[in-house]
Amino acid sequence: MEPPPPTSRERAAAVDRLSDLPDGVLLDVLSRHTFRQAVSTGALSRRWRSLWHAVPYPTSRIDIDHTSAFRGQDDHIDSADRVTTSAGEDPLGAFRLRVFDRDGFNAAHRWIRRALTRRPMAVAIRCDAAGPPSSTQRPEFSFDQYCRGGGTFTGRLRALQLYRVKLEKGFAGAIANDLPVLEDLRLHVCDSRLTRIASASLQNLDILSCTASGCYVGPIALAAPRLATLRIHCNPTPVAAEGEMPSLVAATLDHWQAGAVGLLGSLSHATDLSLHGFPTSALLGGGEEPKGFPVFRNLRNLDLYNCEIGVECQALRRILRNSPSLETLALRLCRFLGGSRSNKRKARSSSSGGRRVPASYACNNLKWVEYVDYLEDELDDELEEIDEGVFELYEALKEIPKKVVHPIESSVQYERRTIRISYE
Amino acid sequence: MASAGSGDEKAAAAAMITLISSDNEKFEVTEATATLSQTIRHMIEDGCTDGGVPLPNVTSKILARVIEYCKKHATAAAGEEGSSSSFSDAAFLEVDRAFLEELEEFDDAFLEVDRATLFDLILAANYLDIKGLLNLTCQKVADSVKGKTPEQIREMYNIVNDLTPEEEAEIRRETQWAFE
Repeated sequence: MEPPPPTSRERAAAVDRLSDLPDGVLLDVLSRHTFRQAVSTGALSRRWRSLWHAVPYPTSRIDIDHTSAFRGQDDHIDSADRVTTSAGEDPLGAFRLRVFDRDGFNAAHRWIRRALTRRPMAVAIRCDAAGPPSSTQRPEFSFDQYCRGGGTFTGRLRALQLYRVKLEKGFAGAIANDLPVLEDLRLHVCDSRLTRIASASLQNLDILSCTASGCYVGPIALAAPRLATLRIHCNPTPVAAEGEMPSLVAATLDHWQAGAVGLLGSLSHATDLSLHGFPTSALLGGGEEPKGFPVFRNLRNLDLYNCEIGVECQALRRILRNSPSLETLALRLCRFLGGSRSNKRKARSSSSGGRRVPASYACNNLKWVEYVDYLEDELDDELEEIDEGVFELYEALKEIPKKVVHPIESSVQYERRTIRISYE
Repeated sequence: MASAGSGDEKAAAAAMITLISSDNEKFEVTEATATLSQTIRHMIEDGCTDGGVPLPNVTSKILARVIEYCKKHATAAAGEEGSSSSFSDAAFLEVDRAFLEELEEFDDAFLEVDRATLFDLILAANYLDIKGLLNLTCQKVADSVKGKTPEQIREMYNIVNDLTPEEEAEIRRETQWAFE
């Protein structure tokens, strides 16, 4: 909204009527801003410098950033205290806390406790500089320490995000028993000893780089029958599914170990899959899966990144055979051998004896296949190998019973070559 | 035949209060209009309104506008009360909506004033403790600086930056996250 026009009197004298308003009125104005904007008015002038400290916080949301504004300053700590105590008893929409290190986290315990007593719907807690995973600097997060006697305070919690904290085994119990409506769980860079994530309500799970430092804790067992999206990235701890996930729509597995314990087989309802860094054996089911690569009846979009497609596109052929609804297939920076490139020629010669019988695939909805690789023009030999890869890909795709409209669209950008084959 | 009670009510509704501006102009308003101001309501309750209510902080120009606001909103409040007993729910909701729309239009038009008048209205609403008017005017100011940087706000409202460069740098460092 445009500010009302200044009067000629004001323009002439450059009167600052705004700053002349009584504190109470200015606080009223500031409380209509986002907290962030209210804080930024602290830089206007002396008059405004600490005005925002007294802004009554909107009751539905509490944001505490202890990393800069609050660090070590009594005023700021006071402000966080006021925010968490004076805002009343009403149920809380969201509570977000960002602290710098473990000392900051220790100072924040009382804010977390107060916020949790107001039964928030969303909680996000991050500790920015909590050291490496095994560090004793990692603060431990558990619901027990704030609300004894379990789930009365977490009964409304729908979304939970934790960043760089330590999770002990008790955390799994809280998820299973005390968070009955939890839909969204994000665990990023957490030091985790979780062995099981079980939730009847969980719909979205995102685990990024959570490790169990110092000791080996087997795969995380996942029992989430209503799960719709699953993302596991940079995560050396394998995840294994207990039971079916019939609601699953999309999954991103950015670590082949995720597949090594047969997780892929539990994702057979997915429409969108993105697999990163899978070796051929993992794509084929790792040998642990008696039925091999599962049938993906609903799979429409498949993205393979940095995967090993296998000798003569063995894994790709299996995928094409088992994914009748496939519409788009992207192969980005993938390798065509189970082993390293140096083994390539050997592998080729040993496999050339028993060529498979060409199989036809049922991919009647296929729209396009995209292939991306590096252009390493200084190495002619390398280029030749890559092109052999393209040739093998072409051989595999020949068996798709659909007419190619644009046989090859090729483009080069940022030293990467993209080839797209479109179907009718 | 009217009961004694309803006669009393009529007399109460007709009770008039005299407000006197800083420049000595007198305004006759109904009690219903005047009591939108909590300050005046308390004076009436304390029985100290005989001979008029002097308002040394409010000029006649601003008081006229404030009364215009209170009259409109007092009527709206009375209309809502009346309609709740005499209309069916559906009709009530219909009337309610019409009232609210009309009131909103009134408020929008009411706010089309220059900045000096806006600040005068804020001060008057604050002094007279008229919640609705204070809400309206503070929101207008809040909206005008929404999403603006400190520099833009300073320029917009002639705020003189009396912080030393060091002080300002320190404030920005402390509250860096608010500027990101």
